[in-house]
Amino acid sequence: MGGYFFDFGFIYRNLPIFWSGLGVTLEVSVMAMAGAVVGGLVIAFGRMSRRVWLFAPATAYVEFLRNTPVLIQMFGLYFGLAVLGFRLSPITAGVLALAGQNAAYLAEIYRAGIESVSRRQLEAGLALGMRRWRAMRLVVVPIAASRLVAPIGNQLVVIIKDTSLVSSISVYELTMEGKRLAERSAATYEVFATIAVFYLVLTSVVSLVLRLYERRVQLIF
Amino acid sequence: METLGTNLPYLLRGARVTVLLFAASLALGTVVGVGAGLLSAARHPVPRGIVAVYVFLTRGIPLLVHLFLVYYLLPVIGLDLEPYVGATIVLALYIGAFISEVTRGAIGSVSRGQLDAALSLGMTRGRAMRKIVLRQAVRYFLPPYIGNAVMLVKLTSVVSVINIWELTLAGREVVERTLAPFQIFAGVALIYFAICYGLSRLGRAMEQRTEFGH
Amino acid sequence: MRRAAIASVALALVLAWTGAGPHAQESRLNVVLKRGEVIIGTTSAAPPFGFIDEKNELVGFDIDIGRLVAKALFDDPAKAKFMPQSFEARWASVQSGKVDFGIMSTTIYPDRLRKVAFTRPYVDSGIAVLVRKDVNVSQMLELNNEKYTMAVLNNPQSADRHKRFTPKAKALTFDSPAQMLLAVKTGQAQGMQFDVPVINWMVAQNAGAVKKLPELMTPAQNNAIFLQQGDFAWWHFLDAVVGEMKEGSLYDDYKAIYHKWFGVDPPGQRWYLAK
Repeated sequence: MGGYFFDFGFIYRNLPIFWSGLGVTLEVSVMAMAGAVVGGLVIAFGRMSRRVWLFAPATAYVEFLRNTPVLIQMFGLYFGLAVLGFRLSPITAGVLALAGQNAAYLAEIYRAGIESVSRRQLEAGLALGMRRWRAMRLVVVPIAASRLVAPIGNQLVVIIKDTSLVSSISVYELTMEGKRLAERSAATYEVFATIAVFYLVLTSVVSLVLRLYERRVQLIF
Repeated sequence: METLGTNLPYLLRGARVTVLLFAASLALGTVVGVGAGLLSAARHPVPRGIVAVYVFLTRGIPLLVHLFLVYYLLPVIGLDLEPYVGATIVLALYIGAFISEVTRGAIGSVSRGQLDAALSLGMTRGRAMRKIVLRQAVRYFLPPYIGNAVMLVKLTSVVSVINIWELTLAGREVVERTLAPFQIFAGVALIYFAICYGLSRLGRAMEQRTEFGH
Repeated sequence: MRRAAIASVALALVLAWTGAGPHAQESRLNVVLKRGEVIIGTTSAAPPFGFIDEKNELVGFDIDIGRLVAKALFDDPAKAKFMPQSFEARWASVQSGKVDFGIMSTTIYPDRLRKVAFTRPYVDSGIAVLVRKDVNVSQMLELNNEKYTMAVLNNPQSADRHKRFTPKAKALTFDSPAQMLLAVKTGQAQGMQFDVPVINWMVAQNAGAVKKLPELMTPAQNNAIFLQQGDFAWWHFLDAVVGEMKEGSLYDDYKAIYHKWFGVDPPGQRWYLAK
């Protein structure tokens, strides 16, 4: 067992395993984020549409995904689709589940951002002779985007933390490698403490970069 | 569909455990979170610093890793917690960090003018905070708080990974026995949906009651 | 100054109290006898040792053996409380005293002996391989091919066997044999390796979908009860009870349980006695 000391030597000798897990964590996070950002745009478009056949499915999607745990979505995609004949690899299922879940949240974030831009800005654009689409694109969206940096970046942190759950469908990311290493040795709490530190550093770096970027993009209207 | 039907009672038993786990950790987490949020509005830097460290450490690490740490660390320092008690405490502390930020934000949203006006009327800081600022902060507090409560319901599913029995684990057990993952997980998802959607509806009703026309 | 002193004394008391935690002086045997109930760590994911049946109850060979131990302690097989736990948590739970002993399809290996104590074995084991019927292999080493995916359990022995026998195949790591079987049955993996009795049961229950390969990955191995190290009286009690099951006064009970779950009689009490 760990005892009352911390076996740094053990951690040092096994660093390659932690790096490998971290790499997979990053891979899954980036792919899921990309999927969520793009998927979120599509869903947001449906959510802001005045056409029922776009609005209804988008709303159903958002409500369903925001009210069900991502772990169930992962199991459903990995095992559920497999019995129907679609065998997704663990990483694919994990990325899809994370992207799908977070696309629902990002869609609402986009919508809130766009709707938060004062109507007067849009009218100003229209008064300058722009058509609605152009006004949206050149006036509303940039202002909304500057306010969205923080919430979107926050979703990335959420995704990074949720990647720990893909360990339960056998993706060899940081948490899974930690579990495997802990099984192999008596130093269970050293391993998990190290894992915790890795996540902490990762989320802190992302948050820090986010805050720096936010400051640069600050538009005060 | 039949498989889901015959196993529904078992799944509902799991749902009951989920709801109990949620309620207990929300209650404890709200106490911790609001307390921490109030402390973070203190003028002295030490309580603000402690809360900041608490929020940073808690929100920067996935819940699953927190659960593993407590699960493996506690036996080493000699503490023996019943699994559900341990899970409730970890969930409560985790959601507490989020609720603390919601509290802090709600207090901050009340315009400073309100506090200044109260102080200029001769109220002590404590009284001003309680009677003027906090009363109004509730309006900003409820919506994100309900959102975090819904998040907590979903977070309870994570304890299944360390083998603590609730709805998700019940679902996995049934799937492993019946090999009907699509049906069963869809059923489990619907049960979660019912709980979460019901909770947000309840929340919206509460929000409307605390709205004051401004 | 005064506050610092009080804080230091409080801290020292807390440390002393927690330090005293794990070093119980009294044997667990006495603790259990006084308590009137034995707390047993087991699994709910490894049939037929421990699993959830259609009535959604925890049953299995290990459960019944656990009840036999309770009978030996209290003359009442009902005085056993079972705590299903994950395979990962099994050592920590006996080390911390959360459970009095564990019985959950656990094989004796040297690295485990460094962490916990084992009684003598209560059932034979060894590692067999199960594959989907639609996989065209008849020998274990044919699975050493990159087009195959094998499900393994999250422990070093499982991982090492995979590396030794089927390194070219991909590995899916899960926390329990039930999860591994789900992966095989849904087609995410083509095969899995696990204890012989469990594989036999899984093949019997799923005869249409899976088959067992003839060779074993390992020689015959021993499944045993495990408990906290250093407690001689408790170890001796449990070990002697297992001895009585296999060779002495509890043999008839053991034989009935064995027959119930494995369909055959256990090995005889003595090689020189007719069964």
